[in-house]
Amino acid sequence: MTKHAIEAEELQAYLDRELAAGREAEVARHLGECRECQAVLADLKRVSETLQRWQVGPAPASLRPPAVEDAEPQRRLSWRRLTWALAGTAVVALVVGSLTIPNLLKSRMAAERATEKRIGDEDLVPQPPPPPASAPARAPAERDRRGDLQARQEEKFEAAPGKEGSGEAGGVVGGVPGAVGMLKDESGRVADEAAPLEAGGAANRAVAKSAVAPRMIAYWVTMTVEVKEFSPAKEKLLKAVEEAGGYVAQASAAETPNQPQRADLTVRVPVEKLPAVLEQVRGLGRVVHEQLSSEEVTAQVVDLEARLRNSRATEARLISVLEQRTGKVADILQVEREIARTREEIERMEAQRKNLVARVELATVSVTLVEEFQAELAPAPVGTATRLRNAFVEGYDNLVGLLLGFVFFFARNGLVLAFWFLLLWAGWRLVRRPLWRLVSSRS
Amino acid sequence: MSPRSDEELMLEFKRGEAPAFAELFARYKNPIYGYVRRRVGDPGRAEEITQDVFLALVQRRNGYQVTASFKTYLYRIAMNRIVSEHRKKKEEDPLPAQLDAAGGGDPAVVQQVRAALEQLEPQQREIVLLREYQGLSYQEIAEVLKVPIGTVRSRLFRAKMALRDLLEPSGTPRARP
Repeated sequence: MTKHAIEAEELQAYLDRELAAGREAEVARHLGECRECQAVLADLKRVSETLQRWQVGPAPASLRPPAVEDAEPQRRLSWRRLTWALAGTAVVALVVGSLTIPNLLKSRMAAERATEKRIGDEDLVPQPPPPPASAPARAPAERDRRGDLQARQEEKFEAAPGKEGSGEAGGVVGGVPGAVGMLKDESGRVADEAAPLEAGGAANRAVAKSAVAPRMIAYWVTMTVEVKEFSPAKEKLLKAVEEAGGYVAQASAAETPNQPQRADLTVRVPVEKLPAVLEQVRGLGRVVHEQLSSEEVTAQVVDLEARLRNSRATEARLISVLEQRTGKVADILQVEREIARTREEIERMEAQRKNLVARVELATVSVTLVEEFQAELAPAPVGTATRLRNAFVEGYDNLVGLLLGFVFFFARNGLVLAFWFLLLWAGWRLVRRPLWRLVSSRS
Repeated sequence: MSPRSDEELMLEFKRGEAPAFAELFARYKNPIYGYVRRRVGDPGRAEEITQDVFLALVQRRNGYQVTASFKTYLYRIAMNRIVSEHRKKKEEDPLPAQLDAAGGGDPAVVQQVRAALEQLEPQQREIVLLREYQGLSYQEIAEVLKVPIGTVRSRLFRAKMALRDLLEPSGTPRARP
């Protein structure tokens, strides 16, 4: 078997002049020595010559270069293209919707909750009623009438037990001093004009006009006021409380270096002076927070009064039994013990009633005074190195925040994105081949 | 002044110079038509496909990048267009059964050549057509077909050996390969 120095396929490359110069010389040298390769080379030449006998004519004269303006891609609206466009739009809409709608729904629910809360708060805040046209002329007469009315009601309240037993609930409740704005005069007319709580008068008048039974309402207000000068503002507040006939129930103050001063005051003021006091508090500075709350204690007072009447009647009967002294000593002692127990109950209930009345008469105002914070200049300018270090620290914090943001985003939306990616990927696998055929046919 | 290269002409055409395209058309209309004509039986259809190839060239001019030779770019368009034509007609990439006489030559020999080429494997046949009739270099053929250049060389040699046996069945003894 002949050993050849060249590969057989190099003969064709030699024939086609596709060998490197050095290799071509080697093949030529080998061909000079190897008859077998010479024969193969001759065969290859002959095959090429035979192939060249199949010639086709030149391009026909009718073949013209396409006009450039006619060669612009035609954007015909085909059903297939339209279908693809609609499908693509739908997929994009689904992706965007699946990502945004849950957040929109959450935002909307949060907004609705916030609105409900705000509406609830606004209901509690007393709105100053528009003054009636004849208000200035009527004011002195109304004040007089209110004073008479209160006096008469207080007389009712302090009436003898025999009168309390009349069972006139309205008289008992209406007789509570300070149940202002809810009192009835002797003719039974709701004395809404006598409402001393002018700020809350609108709500109370509305209730009074619609409600059959008068109401007793305890008010308390929470305020945070930022003041420029702390001590004078605090003095003004205390003075206003004192002038209104109220008192300071609780007070605490805190003073920390380089921090704004702060004082927490809880004051009790007569409910009829509450609007004026609140107005003065608002005038101390910028109101940061204000909230008015109320609690209706009518039912508690009515219940308490009923129990009180029963207990007093029981006490009267026991005293009557004791005065007759017809029983045994043991029975007399038993009656005395029962009288003592009943008296104890009566006093406890009276204390409770006084407490409730006091809550209605005196509104509670919790005021937090905060000194307006004034940043002081730094004692010495911050050095460049420190600022650079701070900048790096801030940059690091921002980077960590960004990375955490990405992590949270993918934790929140990763599954949805993965779902859509798989769906689109599967869709692409389905349409890729037909699309490629379509593009190839057009090209 | 040396003639401008194909790539230079195509870039000029991309910039909007229509004469550059006319020059390219003049250079390649016959080679491309010949390449198509050997693959499509109907001369009218071959002319349409040739027209389509240049039309595609015009349409794609804005996306043209000089990453390969213009010639291989054009032949690749033509090859894809022919494949698409055969696929549309559900044909197995055959050679035309009938040929016009415009090219001349002995019809019997031409038929013998056509029959021999028909029996080659499609990849080998494509390489023979591009080399023997279109004169593409091994490197250009490799770029058109997207195969390694060594593959082109070996397939061409095997195809030529197969053609030798098909065209000269009673030839001299074959000692090699």
